[in-house]
Amino acid sequence: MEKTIEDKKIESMLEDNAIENELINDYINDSETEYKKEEGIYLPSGQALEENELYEITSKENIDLIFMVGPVGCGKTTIEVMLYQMFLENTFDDLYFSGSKTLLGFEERAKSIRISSGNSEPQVERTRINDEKKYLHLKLLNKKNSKTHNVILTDVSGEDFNECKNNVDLMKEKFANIRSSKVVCIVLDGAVIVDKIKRNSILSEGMQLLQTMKDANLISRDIVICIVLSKNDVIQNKIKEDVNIKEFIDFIEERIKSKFIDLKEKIYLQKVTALPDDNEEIEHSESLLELITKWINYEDKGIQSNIIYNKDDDKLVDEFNRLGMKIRGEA
Amino acid sequence: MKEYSYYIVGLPSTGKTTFLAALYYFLINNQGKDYAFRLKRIVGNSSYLGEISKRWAEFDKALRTPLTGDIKETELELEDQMGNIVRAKFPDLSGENFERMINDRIITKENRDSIVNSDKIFLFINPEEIDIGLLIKKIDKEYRKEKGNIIDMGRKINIPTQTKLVELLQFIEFIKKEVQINLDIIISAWDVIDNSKYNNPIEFIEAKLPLLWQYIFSNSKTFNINYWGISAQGGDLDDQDTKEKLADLICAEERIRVVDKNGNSINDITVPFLISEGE
Repeated sequence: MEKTIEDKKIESMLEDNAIENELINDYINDSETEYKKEEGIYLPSGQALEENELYEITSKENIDLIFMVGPVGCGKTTIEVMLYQMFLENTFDDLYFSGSKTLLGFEERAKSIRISSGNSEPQVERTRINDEKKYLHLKLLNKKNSKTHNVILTDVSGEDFNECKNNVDLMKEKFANIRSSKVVCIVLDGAVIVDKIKRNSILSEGMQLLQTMKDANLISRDIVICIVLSKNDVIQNKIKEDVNIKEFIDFIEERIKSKFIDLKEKIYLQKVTALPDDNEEIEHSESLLELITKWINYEDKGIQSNIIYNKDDDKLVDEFNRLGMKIRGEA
Repeated sequence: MKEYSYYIVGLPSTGKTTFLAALYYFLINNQGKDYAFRLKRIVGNSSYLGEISKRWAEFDKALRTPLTGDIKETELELEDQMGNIVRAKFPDLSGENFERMINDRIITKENRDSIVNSDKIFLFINPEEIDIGLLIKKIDKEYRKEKGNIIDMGRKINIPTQTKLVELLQFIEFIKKEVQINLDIIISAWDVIDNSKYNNPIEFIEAKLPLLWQYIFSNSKTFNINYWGISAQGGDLDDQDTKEKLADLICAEERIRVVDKNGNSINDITVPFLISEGE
């Protein structure tokens, strides 16, 4: 019987699957040549953590949750990856890398910016929408005061924020953990800020996000709001051509503070060059070091495992306050 | 009699087997009391050590531990300068085993037990095999090559060497739980190090492996650390002149050079096996 077009399509799809299956089998065979997996003992995955996996850290130590917020492509993931990368390249006077439960998570995000990727241009992959593995961990030692900080960085897709930037209920539902943050970091794309057609829209988007988070009761008074202007190297280059850019940037902090007067004392602007453009002389590590040093040096907030559970807020049941609940015999 | 177990960690081609080969040769051919340890007796089957030390003495640089087969665990009875007898056990694991731990996130039970029972961990680093995880941006555009669309099943990420080393130490910490860990970091092929830049192994690690340096510094409560620079081959065996010069030595063990954390140079390769009381 002659094959129909549909039959041929199915056959072709099956062939594609066969290639894929072969590759997967190769991988499995490769990994299991010397010992069977079931005979081994699993080691920590090293990947970005899911919320319930954070308990492993919060049950023992305090954490500094840094909630990274911003639209698609603004540079959130690049900043996070480069925060890790700067410790691979440098030893700083006061801040030492002290460990990470998510080294593989950082490396997965860094693979496309390394020469080993075979790419000729670095391109940090987009964070997947609704990805549960969104927490990256950096343990740092502040040598000045011998204090250890467990910095947890969220890596959430810009699309996720896009959905709820003007939707209070959705923001509350999806990002209840913002309430547990030490710092909410709103990232504004520096490469767009220099475009006079788009810059007001980008700033407005940041304002919308902050307004919606506030209206969703996610921003308490002790949360620090860090407005990050990413890709500062691009900004500095464009300023040479257009002085209005500087004026606009100088106005950003003032504008946000005047809009959110009650949060005024907790808002600050930080310019960051995470991955400088080719042949740039700007030392990217300096701005990143300043960024993370400021985050950890705010002393008044941070998730202290024994006091974070607020009994009045029964809805806030997440992994951060499980220990608090446990202490009270409620979990 | 004391019994000490050593666990030898290192990525592929980091000189673990060469070190053991040189050690065995040294122990078999020296009875002097000036050394930290001398061989009291061979316990059981040390054919493996005999074979690799023979190849070491014949300048065979291709000493590699096969991945397949059992862990090449060897036991030797050593005597220290005070006359104390120490039974030393040390497995020789191929570097691929450690690569697998990182890639597959799994460890065999046997291997796990060796870590749990170890009194001292040796971490080997080859200064010539350090992948720094170079960023594309650090290379001039004209030198960049596009590989094109390669099939990436997510099976392997090229992880920088120091990240792998930190991960391995985190695994050891995870396995040993709350116990303080005796860790000796050994920079192998110390003869290739530029002595005008680095006087001792600490200076080298600080400069070339900053992530590892920061990690071990800030976890000094967990790790009781010592550092060594060891040249077990004696030089680059691919260089015929070097090889000839080394072959001219009357005692082959003079090829061995051990540099301690302060930069002092000796040729006693048994020193790293010392475990002081309280460690």
